[in-house]
Amino acid sequence: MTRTLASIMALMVTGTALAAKPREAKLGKPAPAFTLNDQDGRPVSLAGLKGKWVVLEWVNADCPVWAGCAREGTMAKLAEQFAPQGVVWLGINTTHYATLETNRKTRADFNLSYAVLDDHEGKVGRAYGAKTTPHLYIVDPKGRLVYRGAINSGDDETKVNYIEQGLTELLAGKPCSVPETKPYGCSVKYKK
Amino acid sequence: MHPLAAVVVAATLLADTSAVTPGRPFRLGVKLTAPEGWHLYWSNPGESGLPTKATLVPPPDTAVRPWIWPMPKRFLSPGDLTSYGYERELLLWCPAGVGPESRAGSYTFRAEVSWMACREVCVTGKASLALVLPAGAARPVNQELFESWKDSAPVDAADSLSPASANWTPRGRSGLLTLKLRWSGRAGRVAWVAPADPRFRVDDVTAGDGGPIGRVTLRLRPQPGTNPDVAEVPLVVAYTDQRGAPRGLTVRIRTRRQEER
Repeated sequence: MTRTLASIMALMVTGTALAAKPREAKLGKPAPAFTLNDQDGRPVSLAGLKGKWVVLEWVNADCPVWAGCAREGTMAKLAEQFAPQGVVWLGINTTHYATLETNRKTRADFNLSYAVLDDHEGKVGRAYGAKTTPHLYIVDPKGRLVYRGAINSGDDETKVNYIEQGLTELLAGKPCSVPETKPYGCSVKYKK
Repeated sequence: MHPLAAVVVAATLLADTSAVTPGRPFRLGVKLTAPEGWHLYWSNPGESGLPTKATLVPPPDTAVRPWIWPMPKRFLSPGDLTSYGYERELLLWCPAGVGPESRAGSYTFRAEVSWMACREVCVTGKASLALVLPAGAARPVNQELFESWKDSAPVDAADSLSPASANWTPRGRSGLLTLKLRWSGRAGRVAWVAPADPRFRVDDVTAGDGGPIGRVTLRLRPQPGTNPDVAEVPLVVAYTDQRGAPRGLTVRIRTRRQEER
């Protein structure tokens, strides 16, 4: 770096950044790779799902917001609705105290047909920047992240289900009209 | 279910007066108390959590002002998650008054309140509260409570008594703006900046060091996928004063909509 360029850059940095954020998975870029065990101890890898649309859903049965959505069957219904079109739905549990048994129980208690993967170490959650339960991501068949955020727009009357809308558009060959929203729910309970 | 899920948050609607004298203002408040170690959330909970919500339904002939939110604390949790709220207790309060012509015998105030409280796990709750105040000669009640929360809100920077005046300049279209804080006394040290309105987000906050004119740059944008139609966004600037005590300022940012008028 030349002296002139360095001094220009020094002038640009006029203050102290407060709370710099680590880099997170970016939209349009490859979704972070992972291999995690499902509730029966079988490894599931994102790489192995190349060629398919994948939905990742951060779960936690101890979170009243996630549990409320799950009790209504919001996610399970969507998973079933889009399964015939080859969409793979995966739950990921980053709760630091969750075990395979926790994930088996969550599936049973909430009638989930999809796998729940064990991420209690928190590596995958951190790579994706998962903030809440629920927090949802859509990965395209080329392995790129095309949606991240909330499952829906909340409890307002004009409630939009972003996953249903997004998958419908994407499967029809259109771009996702709302590629990002703010997720809502309890914080993901990461390991310290 | 997690064993801590049985935790209960107590919610009450109260006033600083035993009775209502028409034409004489008083204070109403919603008090939320959680057990030790739990926290409640601000109007903008941050990256996770749910905002405390309280909708007040006053009786006829009564005017109430918008809730006054105390200055929140910032909580940082594992996974680099930032949220804003209150440790254990929150009093949302507002000035209220009954019209001097009113002849009712009593006044019933109702409030619908909902919250999330978290410790290692989170619980949600809601309550329908009511408070009946008779008309008549007022006697002060709950004074200590209302007095202890009276000065806990961030000071509006436009207020003549504010420790700093503020002006701001937008830089380009991506929400970048420069905030200039002109401190009347010793400059405060800015700790964080967040919008009181959760429909907006603040990123890339950079604070200049010391000096009577504090320069803060930040990016203020609507939450992704939204286009809120508001005239202004109140930004809360958290700073520590010369004694190291945490304090807050509110700076109201007019949105582009307003500027285009």
